[in-house]
Amino acid sequence: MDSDATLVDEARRGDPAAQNRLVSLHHEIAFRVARGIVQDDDLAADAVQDAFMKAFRALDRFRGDARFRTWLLSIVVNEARGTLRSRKRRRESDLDAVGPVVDPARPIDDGVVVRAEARRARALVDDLPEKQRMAVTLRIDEGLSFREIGALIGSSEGAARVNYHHGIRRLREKMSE
Amino acid sequence: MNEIRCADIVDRLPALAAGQVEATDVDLMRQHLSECASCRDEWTVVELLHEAGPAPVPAGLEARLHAAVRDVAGQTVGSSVVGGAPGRKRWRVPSWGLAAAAGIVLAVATPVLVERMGDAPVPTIDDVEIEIALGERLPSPWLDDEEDVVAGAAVLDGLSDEALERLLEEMGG
Repeated sequence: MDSDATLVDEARRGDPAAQNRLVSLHHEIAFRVARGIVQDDDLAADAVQDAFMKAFRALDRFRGDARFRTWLLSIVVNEARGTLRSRKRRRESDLDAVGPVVDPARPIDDGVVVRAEARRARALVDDLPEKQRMAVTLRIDEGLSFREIGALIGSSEGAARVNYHHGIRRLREKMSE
Repeated sequence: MNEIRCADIVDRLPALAAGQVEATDVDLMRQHLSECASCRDEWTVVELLHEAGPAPVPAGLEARLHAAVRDVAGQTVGSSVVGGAPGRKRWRVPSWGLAAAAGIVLAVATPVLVERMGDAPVPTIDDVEIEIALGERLPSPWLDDEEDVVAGAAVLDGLSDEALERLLEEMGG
């Protein structure tokens, strides 16, 4: 029995420490999944809160067929998509805010260039289509398997892998423009 | 492993960036990256994304979630909290108000539902939500995705593993 399953059992019995531990273990990935969809910190936080509340209300009836994390994140995805639909809001990508990659007047410093390029790459991720964005961030930031990513984005394992590689390839093209 | 396929390499680049690849495999991967321009390009992107790090989690979110979960565990009897949680606007409705509202809804909706239902049960929104929450029905939030550039997710999902593999090869991955 993995630690999540143990914690879920204890949380079901009303153990507040187990409930808090589950929150602490999964709130970061939950936030990043939600943010990957709504692309707004405040909306993502609201969606995550609603998802956690819904999950804990249904905890008694969680059968454990899936991993708790996958189950929780599927609720997060659903909440985030609902938030996005209700707000009809989409953030315009503002790459100008990232600024030029390198200030030409400034002496070249490899560290500065790398950090600026890294910020630019991260900003470009926001411009990817949702499935590619989710596949890239879940794979690189969270180390999720393509199988789990597929479950979260509603695709097969193979399609999740293709979405990931499409996303990376598109970033590569954008970075070289 | 004498011959490393590009597909094997690119799949493991995030792990390489995170320092989660065994030392012997690191050498093999580095060797491949030095010889393969396509994989090297992909490595550059993965390394940059890893360098930038993930989106930071807002300060206070964890505490807010702890409070929300406590709220769920200890919801009081006699008043119902609708659509709210700590840190967000709440509407507190007295019990008699909910009862009255439920009566009105039943009076108006029942004839319509009975007429439409016939013999077949009609799933309600609550049913769907419960199924999703219980994992009985994974949400399919992507059905209305208008911007899937990968020639449509449905097409990808319909491909066999072999076909997906070929597609990846053609992509140069």
